[in-house]
Amino acid sequence: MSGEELTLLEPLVEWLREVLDVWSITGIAIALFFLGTPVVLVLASWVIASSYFIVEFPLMNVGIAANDSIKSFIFLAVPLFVITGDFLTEGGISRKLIAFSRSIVGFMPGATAATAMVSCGLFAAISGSNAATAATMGRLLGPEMVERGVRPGLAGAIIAAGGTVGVIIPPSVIFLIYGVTMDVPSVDLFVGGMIPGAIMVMALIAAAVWLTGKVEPGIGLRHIKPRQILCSGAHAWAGFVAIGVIFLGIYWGYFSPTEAAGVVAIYCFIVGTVPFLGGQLKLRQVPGILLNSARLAGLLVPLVVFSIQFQQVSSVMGLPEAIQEFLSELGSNFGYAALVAVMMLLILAVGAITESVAVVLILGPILGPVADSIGIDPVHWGVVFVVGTTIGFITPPYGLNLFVVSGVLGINYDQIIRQVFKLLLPLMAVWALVTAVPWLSLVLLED
Amino acid sequence: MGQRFDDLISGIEKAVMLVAYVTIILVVGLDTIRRMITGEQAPWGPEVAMGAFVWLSWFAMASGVRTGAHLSFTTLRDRMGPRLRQAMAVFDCLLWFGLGLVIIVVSWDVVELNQRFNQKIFGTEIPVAAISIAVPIGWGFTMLRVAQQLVRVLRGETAPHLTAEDIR
Repeated sequence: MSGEELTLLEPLVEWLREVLDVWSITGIAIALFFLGTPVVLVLASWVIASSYFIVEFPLMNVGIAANDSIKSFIFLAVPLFVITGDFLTEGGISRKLIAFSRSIVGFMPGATAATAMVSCGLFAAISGSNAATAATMGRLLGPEMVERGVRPGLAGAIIAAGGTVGVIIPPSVIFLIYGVTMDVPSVDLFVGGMIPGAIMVMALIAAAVWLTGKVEPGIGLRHIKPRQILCSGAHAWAGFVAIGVIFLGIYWGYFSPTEAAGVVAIYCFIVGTVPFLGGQLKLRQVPGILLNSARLAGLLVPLVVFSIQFQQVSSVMGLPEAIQEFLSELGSNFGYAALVAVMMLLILAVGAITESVAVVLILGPILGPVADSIGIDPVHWGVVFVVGTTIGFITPPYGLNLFVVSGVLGINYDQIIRQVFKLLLPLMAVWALVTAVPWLSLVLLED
Repeated sequence: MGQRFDDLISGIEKAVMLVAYVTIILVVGLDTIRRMITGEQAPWGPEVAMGAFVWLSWFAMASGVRTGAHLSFTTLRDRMGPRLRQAMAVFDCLLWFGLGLVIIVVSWDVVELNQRFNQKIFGTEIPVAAISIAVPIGWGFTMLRVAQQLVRVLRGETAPHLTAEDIR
């Protein structure tokens, strides 16, 4: 803009500086959010308005951050793990992992639902996205659950809940974003999430068996066939190699998470496309798959960019300190247990109304230092925080997985919501356990 | 005319996203494999991959505006009457334009700064501006998509909605 134009705008800017304060800008932003304005617009408006009118930051910071915030090598793992999940499904490897899961838990009551939960765990160990996990399992196992007599709403709720493990079992897109935002090593978060993720899968299997066992009775332990388990496991070799490369490569320090994601993406592309290796993916499908996966970057990255600036601007205003002070006072008056409970409620409440990445980016920097101040290990708190945000994926009114499954299975959103509370209980119990027992998140990190 | 324009914009967006995505996969994946085998790694690899990610992200954002993919809390808006919903959609478009204008102007300053200091990506002759220019161009495409959306809204057409298949 020219100097003359700026001079003309000056009285308006001065007037806005007089009438606007942080509370009015925040109030307008919250109102816009509830009125359905895209989250990225709400966040960007808050950042630009507060930068310009309140803290008088040069707006060039926005231009610099729009470039520099994205240039993080660890952040690069996000598109790579997403495309890995898509190659896995389109290449037919996901179906083989499902067959293996079925051979293990097929004898149980509610076998199809239990198979879905084990498959979610295996798929999550290669892909890093909860929505990808829910969409894939919804497509591959949802209709079968309904055919076996499970009510559609319950089938949708079970699949949506299974998708949440996609975020806890490493690799995980949300752990990566939390690590980048909070400066906690992503590898430590991955390792810290292993045992809680396994417990989540077990709790969800138990819930699935409990909820669907009557319509799909078990066939008894004598029907377990070790030969069938071995055969289906051998068929799913490609998936296990991918899991091994990611886990062992990262755990033993051969790769960073981003490098592991790059290697596994190429590996899944090769085994997915080469018919000799059992691949079912046609080369002409690849551009469509890449473009579909790219959409996630278009949703997440602008949110991350503006959230990082939100943190910077709010730090200058002293907003986190004010909230931290309030929470710390709460801790001093009512004890640390009450403080942690309030923080968990905050994560759950915000997660219920908005997208999980936004929860991480907005609440993470506010709650992290409070947790640190009362002596909670950053990795343990990171795992607790992310487990809480995963519950937000299936907590109405805004549960991303519920939305995904509703679309994939063609089931009314309300039908799924009515059933999902049955799945929330076991997940809440796991969350409480992971919070109360730091050992679960930290034992694998001890040398 | 409208359809041809849409096809042209879509074609450019898709081409940029595909080239950027393939670059990320090949540079990160193959260079890591090369390091495992030969012990050598290209010093420019991470910078080029991150630059491709910048291009991918802002063009994917533009594409997301076309498909109505940007996340929002829609419970209240879905219950609004058609007139109010249309007014809110117009307001969203104007907000996009306002923010877009600011971001294009300030990110262009960054490009000029990179050019003035003749900054290069480490280990290559590629100017840093070749990456930072992705921000104003990506936002420029976003503005084109917002303009299309505004026309649709003013004509009373239903805005595109995110489908489950769009979310990965």
